[in-house]
Amino acid sequence: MSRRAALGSMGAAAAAVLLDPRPALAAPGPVLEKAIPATGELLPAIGMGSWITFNVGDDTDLREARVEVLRTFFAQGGAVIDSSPMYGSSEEVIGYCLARLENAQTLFSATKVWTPLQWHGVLQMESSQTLWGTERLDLLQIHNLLNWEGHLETLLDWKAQGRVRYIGVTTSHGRRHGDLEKIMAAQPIDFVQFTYNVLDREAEQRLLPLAAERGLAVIINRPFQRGALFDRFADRPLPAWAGECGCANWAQIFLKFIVSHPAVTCAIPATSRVDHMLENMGAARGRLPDADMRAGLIRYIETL
Amino acid sequence: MLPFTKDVFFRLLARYNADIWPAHIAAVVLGIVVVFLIFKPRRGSDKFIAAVLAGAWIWTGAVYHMMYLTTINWAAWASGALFVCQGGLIAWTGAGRGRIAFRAGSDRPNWFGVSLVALALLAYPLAGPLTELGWSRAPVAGIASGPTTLLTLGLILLAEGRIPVRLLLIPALWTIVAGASAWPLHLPHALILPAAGIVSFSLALIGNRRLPSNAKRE
Ligand SMILES: NC(=O)c1ccc[n+]([C@@H]2O[C@H](COP(=O)([O-])OP(=O)(O)OC[C@H]3O[C@@H](n4cnc5c(N)ncnc54)[C@H](OP(=O)(O)O)[C@@H]3O)[C@@H](O)[C@H]2O)c1
Repeated sequence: MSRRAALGSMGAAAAAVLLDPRPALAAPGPVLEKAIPATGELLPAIGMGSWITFNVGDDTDLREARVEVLRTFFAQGGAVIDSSPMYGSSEEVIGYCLARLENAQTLFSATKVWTPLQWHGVLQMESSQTLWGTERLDLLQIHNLLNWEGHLETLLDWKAQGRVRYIGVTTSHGRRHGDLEKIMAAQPIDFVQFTYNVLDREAEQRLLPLAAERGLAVIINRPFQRGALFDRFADRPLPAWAGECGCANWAQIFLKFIVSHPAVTCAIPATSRVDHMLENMGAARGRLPDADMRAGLIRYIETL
Repeated sequence: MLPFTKDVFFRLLARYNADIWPAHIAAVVLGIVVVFLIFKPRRGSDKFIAAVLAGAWIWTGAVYHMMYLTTINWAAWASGALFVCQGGLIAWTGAGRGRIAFRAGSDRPNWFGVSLVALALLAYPLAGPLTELGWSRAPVAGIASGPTTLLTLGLILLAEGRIPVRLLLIPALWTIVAGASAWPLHLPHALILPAAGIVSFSLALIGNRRLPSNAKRE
């Protein structure tokens, strides 16, 4: 099967890219959205991560700076924010920001449970809810598969009680892909989160096709390889299709590469800066690269 | 990998230093008194030095680690607890039971011990402005983990008779942890601390092997 045909068939099975005008938002143009396969609910294809970038403790100046980052995120049509109790004060800082924003109605809260102990997981999830200050968390994920059997039991129970809308599992380590695959194949989860970017493309082999086949929403972490992609490529010319797809910078190239994969629901780049947030959210607008452009990008960066 | 950026960490250090000012003056004065007493011991001076050292570990663990560092790193609860434990150990062995006599001598471990004391009390804080830390974040022995650890390694190496190696365990371990943490921040402490920890521990073991197991301390 050719790459184009493979992508096409996955596209049919997975979330469709839809264009949804959001009149309430200040940003120009419609936001690229993709559907959560389990329910059809639409999510903007670009979300936000919070590892390191939102861990500013109780430093008021830095907290206020993060309020502006989030204000920009929502103004540009963002919704999905990903965090974890592992990320120091990030959840607390997100809650601080949300309480100060008037434009956060579109929030899709995604956090994690990260502890070897099932009973402690319950306390952690309750604490997350308090820290975010939201009535109900949208997505709870088992961080790095830690005690996934135990936490999955709790999560299924919480979902049945309506305490959380979606449940999922995450990893960022290639060596856990085998375990993740088994969970994806057999367990009743809605979301899965793993790493995928122009350089780390292992997920194309099995995880992405499996997610499409099983109807799982896919969140992509480390879309910039923790920023290393900029160190490598930032001073190189953009690929030929940049203009055609409305990409003005490498951040948008990297993100559009990811979200143009038919099985991907959204990418969650992390940033501490308003200008970077604007760049990143710019990837949620305009045309997405097609299969030929994607293949061309890989060939191009391999020459750099 | 650290869960925070250098900027966030440096701002936290500056805020901690500003909040606890003028505790620095008290720490520096106590440091000078300790140096005086290791060269000119008095009655009760060994218990006094141990009490100062124990206080430094307990303060650094309870205030710096648990009240400040935990706001950006949950692992600081564990490091804070380790610091408080070390403070308790020194208080019990040195201040309570009077089992350590701190003496500046001229043999090899003592020479190294005195150098570490000087590094902790003088070079470390004065290097603040020479590195990116600047004055506002200059680490002072007694209230910052790095120089407190070096001061402790130095003073324990000055112990008369067999060196109480169990009192070196947490400081030596901390030099490795702190060195690994300073590495991604590109600070010179990344090398100084582990080197000091490894050499001190080795010198203590070598020194103790030369002495009979029941060698008197005072
Ligand atoms: N197992 C898991 O569950 C797991 C594992 C890893 C990650 N995650 C999630 O995925 C999120 C994303 O991954 P990540 O944070 O590791 O890495 P990432 O998003 O690939 O990269 C973040 C880095 O890119 C920089 N950056 C962002 N936008 C930029 C732009 N437009 N131009 C230049 N630099 C830019 C940021 O610096 P600035 O602050 O300067 O913009 C930051 O240093 C995490 O925050 C976390 O929420 C989950």
